[in-house]
Amino acid sequence: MVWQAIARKEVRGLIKPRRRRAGLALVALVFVLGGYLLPTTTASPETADLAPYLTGAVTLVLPLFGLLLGYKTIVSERESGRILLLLSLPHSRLEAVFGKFLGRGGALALVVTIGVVLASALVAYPFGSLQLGVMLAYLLVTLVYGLAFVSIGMSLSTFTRSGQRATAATFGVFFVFVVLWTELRAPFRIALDYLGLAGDGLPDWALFVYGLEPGMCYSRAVRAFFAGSEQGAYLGPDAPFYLGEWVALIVLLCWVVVPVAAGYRRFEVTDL
Amino acid sequence: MSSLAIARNDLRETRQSKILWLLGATIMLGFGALTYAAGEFLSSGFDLYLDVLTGVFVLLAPLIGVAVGYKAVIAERESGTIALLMSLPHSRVELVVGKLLGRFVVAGALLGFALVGSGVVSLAVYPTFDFPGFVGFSLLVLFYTFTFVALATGFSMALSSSRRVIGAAFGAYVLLIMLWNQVVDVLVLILFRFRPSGLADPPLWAESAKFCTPLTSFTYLLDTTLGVGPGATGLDIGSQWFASNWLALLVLSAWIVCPPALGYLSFRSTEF
Repeated sequence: MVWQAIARKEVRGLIKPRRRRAGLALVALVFVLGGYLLPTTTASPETADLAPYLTGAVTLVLPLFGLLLGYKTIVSERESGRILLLLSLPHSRLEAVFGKFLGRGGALALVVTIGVVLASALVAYPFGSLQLGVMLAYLLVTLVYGLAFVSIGMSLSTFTRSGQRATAATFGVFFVFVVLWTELRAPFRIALDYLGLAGDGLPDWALFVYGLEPGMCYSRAVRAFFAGSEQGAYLGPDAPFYLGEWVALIVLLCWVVVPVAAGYRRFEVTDL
Repeated sequence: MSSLAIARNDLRETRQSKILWLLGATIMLGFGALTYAAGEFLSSGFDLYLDVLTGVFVLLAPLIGVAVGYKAVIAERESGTIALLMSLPHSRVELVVGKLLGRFVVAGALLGFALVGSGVVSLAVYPTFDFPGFVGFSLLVLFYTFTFVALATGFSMALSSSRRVIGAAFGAYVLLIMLWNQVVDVLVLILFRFRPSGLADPPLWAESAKFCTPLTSFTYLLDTTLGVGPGATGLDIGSQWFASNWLALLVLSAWIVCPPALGYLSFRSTEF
């Protein structure tokens, strides 16, 4: 089980230096702060209220830290030449990628878990109540969302040759997914309208394509599962099933698996 | 047996200190004078005098305890004599226990000067002098002092320089004697999101936390057994589960046992 050794080394590298530890703690702090502030807005908060309350912050912070955790993993080792040392040991490339992903993702998962648990406790005490199942579900959805960005970051790291390019690509992904995506809806519709494929609103298939972005999937899942929303183009009563929350969850899982797997496929056959 | 030898050695060194003898004499005279003055000017009964004495001891006894205890191990460590000491067939437990015993005796002697001074004078001043009551009072004061000797000795074992030990020990004095109730109140206020309901009707954990200091357990015991002193300050003692003499005694004993034990756990594996 060599990947465990690699994962352990990754986690140690993330936890030992004080600056990285502080950065990771910041993620947990976002959740804790949300859990602290939530009861000031309602009289008797529940655990489920935490999810929609935090969505705005989470969809900003988790992509940022997920990408930051992922984007240098392979490419920095490749640039410095350490990867030759790493692979001269009896590790396969699969184990290297898998171990690094598990180590980095595990570190993120750990701080998110700490944050969510503390936040739920702060919501529950002293005014609210705790629903353990809801907390676990929220934790699971949020973990999948965070891991999706670690996976995207790692795939960028395997697809690029230089650290500079990886940085640029990461910045691009962050900008497009987190900053720009909500603004893209209107141009998208206008473009389709120009092609004669859309009328006043987007057709269902176009909504599906537009809604594939991890942040959209995550906020849809949160709205449907924790806020009980049944409105809008995605969750409304006449929306088809593939715009619903379960499909969004499956898409999110795909975002965890596919990028890192594709990155590995590429990495497996490149010359170093 | 060798812990007794260490304690004896510790006492032999202490006995040669002229300053300590001077201090003891000053304390004895001071308390005698205090007793005389209280009898002359405050008048009335012996109970009232014990109230005054409690007010003095509450602040002074821990200070003496900390001052006596903080050097116990760190002084040997910083001067290097601990290497000599450990080259003899003493184990580290014996060293720690012996030092603790020696410090208990020194603190007990200093407090004894104060108690004898005030006891002898009040025998003359107060016709209502209550001998068993005064002995009980003295035992409780000694018990209370030992908690701070143990605390300071614990720090003396755990920390690596006397500056840190002094900081920690006197910090603990300030925190436990002067600030503890306020700290707990602030914590309650923060957790209750600054609504006044938290302080108006404090939760049980906050009351237990306030009770668990040496100071509050000591004043509570004085109040319930002898009817002396302010009682559990800052606490509305009603039918809480923790409000019993046995538990207060247990709290004081725990403060004597736990800090040295924890200090030893860290001392066990330090290098000199």
